[in-house]
Amino acid sequence: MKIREFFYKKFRYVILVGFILFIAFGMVFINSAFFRFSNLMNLVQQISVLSIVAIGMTFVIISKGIDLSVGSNLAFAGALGVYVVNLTGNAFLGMLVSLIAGASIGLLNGLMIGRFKISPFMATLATMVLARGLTIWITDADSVWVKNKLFLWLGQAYIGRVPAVLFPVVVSLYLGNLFLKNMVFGRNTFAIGGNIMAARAAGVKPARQIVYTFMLCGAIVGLASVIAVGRMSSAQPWAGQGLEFEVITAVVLGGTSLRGGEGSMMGTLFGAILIGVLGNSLALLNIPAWYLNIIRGVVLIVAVLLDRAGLLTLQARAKVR
Amino acid sequence: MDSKLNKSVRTIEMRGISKSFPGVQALDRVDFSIQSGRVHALVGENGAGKTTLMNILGGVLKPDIGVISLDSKDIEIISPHRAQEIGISFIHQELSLVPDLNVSQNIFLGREVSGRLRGFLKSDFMEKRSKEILARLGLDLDVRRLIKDLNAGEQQLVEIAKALNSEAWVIIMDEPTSALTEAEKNQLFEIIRQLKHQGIAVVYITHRMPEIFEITDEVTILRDGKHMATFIIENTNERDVIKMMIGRDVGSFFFRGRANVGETVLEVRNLTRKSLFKDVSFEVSEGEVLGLYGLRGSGRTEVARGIFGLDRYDSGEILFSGRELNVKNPLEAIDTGIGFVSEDRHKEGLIELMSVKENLCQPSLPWINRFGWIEKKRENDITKEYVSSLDIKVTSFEQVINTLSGGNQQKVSLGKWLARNPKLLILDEPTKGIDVGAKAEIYRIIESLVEEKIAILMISSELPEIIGISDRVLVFHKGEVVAHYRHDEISEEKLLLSASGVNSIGEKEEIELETKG
Repeated sequence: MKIREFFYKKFRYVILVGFILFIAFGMVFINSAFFRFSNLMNLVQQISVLSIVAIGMTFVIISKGIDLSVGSNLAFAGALGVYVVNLTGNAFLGMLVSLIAGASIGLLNGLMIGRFKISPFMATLATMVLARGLTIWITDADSVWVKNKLFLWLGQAYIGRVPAVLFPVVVSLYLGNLFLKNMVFGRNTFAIGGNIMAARAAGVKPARQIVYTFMLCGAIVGLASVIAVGRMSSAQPWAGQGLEFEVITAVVLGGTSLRGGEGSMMGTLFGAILIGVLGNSLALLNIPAWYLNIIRGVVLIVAVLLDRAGLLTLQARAKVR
Repeated sequence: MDSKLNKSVRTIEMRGISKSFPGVQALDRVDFSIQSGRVHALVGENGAGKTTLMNILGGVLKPDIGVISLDSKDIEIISPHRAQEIGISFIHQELSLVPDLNVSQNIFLGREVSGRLRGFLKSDFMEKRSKEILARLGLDLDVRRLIKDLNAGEQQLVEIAKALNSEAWVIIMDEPTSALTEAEKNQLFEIIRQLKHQGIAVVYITHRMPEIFEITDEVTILRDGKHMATFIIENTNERDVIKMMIGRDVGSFFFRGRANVGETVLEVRNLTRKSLFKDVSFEVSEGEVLGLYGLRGSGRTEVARGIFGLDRYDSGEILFSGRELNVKNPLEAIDTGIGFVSEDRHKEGLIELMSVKENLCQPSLPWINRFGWIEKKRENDITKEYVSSLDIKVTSFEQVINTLSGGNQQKVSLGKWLARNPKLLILDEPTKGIDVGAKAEIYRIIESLVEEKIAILMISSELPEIIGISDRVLVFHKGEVVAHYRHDEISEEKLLLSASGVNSIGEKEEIELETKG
């Protein structure tokens, strides 16, 4: 029984790591560039924004929500930060503004969903468009270049041969994990996602918890937006397009259940790596862009089917029992 | 539907039906038979197996063993669809009508008639047919009225019309009068008589004794999943049926007499919520168990939920340890020292994907953290304490809750409140859906809580339980307290009768005596 439970709990990781290794070793035969240190570090940079945003999305999906606004919010928070940096020349002020801007969109999402009971899908669909509109307004629909080197540091700098961005990624994943597992906040996120009525009866305030969860996700997007700006040296009006798609795919692949109440940071990390490895490999193979989208679509379908079938999660198995 | 012409008697026979769920033997070799043109009452306490039996008949559940035969030919009812083909229609307590469609659209829901152009509905035809069906029931109802504009009684009748339209000759009614007024009830009975006359078989599930004797031809009594008896109605009386329903060995774990009741913990004055409960007043003291009895929907659960801040109330006062209490949410109630074990542990009690530990500690989280970080040690201490003191059988503290048996799950949903050291514990159906052994354990736990001077408000539909455990019992009927008994005055019959609204005048005199004395 115990072995079975252990296997069940770790099964999703086995699948994910298997997939990652399968693709990675497949690549060795096709293009030896894959395992070069420089390419691996490249990979880290490529998945940095994805994996940080995925932390926030993990919280949201565990709470039985979804956040479609993360992509536009990334552009919005970045653009506002850049605006302030270019105005004041103070990089830290700019970062703070990005963080607050991201959290504000999250707050708006949270209020609509928690207080006014709008479905997460509709609420964040609205803010997705709203934030994009704001971004285009702020940037005047054009790239806004950043002169402040410090603001770009996170996204561009290398420490030795390692990109600086590796550290915020690792630290935020670690903190995200602690938050989720060891804090009342994380526990309550699981509780409302698992059974919102039981959570309420046990003293959780569901509306408040939902607001905070979406705010956290927004703030994390704000953090990621600084990295995204750094990588482009500019605020881009169309930054983060389709990011929500990749992030949701990564989180679901990582075994966070779309039915709420179940998930882990570890899984999300593997999910993000899998998405990254897949994208990186396809790029190395010079596969045209439209194939990429087809593959992306198929991967999400597979991820959702796996979630439904309960192969990635405990939930369905428990039901079948 | 030509049963009017078809005079031959049709029968469905269920023999030796058994069904078990994890931890519970829901049905144990039950026999039940249905004959066209007869009304057969199915009675038993909650959990006696009535619904399970009917779900088997309706194709929702498969029996573990047992035979079902239709006109002496063995059949298998493998799905609700098959049941419908056979002509069985189940009218649930929660009606299945669509509020925003009109009467005729509901009667033809799922069997719409289209014209020559597929997809285009022949509304005129359907409305005409609906009118005919309603007329057959002796009803004059505008078929274009929306369901949401009808009263509960009329909705019930539309539901019956819908069943008739699906060519059903067996109609199962689950507590059909629970939401009806006296006049609506009489109309329903009139219609049941009509149905009988037209050769329809009715299975009538209820708690209410007088109704059985008013409308049914025979009665089958289930108790704890066993078939106790089937009587022709003329050959029996209320007393015998009640005895069969509840006359189990109450066991030795019940009430030993409690002398020392302490100070008043909870005092409720004139608590009212429009259309749910009215002018409810009572008090509970330290070391006392106050039982709340009544049929489903009689207001007892709603009052308890109001006290705990799960639902609101419109007016009235609640005093807790002498101070006014006005909780806006359960968290405040928990903070004050109230615990609430909910009626349905799957719905409002446990978080099923979480572990034993996480469930046991959930209500305590606001008190066992330091700056938001859960104190792992205290969490483990709590878990250890209650797993051992309540004897919860687990393989590890991390075991996911829905892999536990019903009894152990119930102990967890009790234990999570004990961890808060409450002064008042509200128990809503504390032993629902668990086996006899686990029940006895829960009773022992309740008894030990009483010794620790905790005040207990217990809602239960199980007569032996409420009689065995309570010091006093309040009986609810249609949102009002209709009777109040001290332990030495309680009897099963009295409770059943007051709960079904019989003799309520007589009982009211007793209340007045109570309050004077």
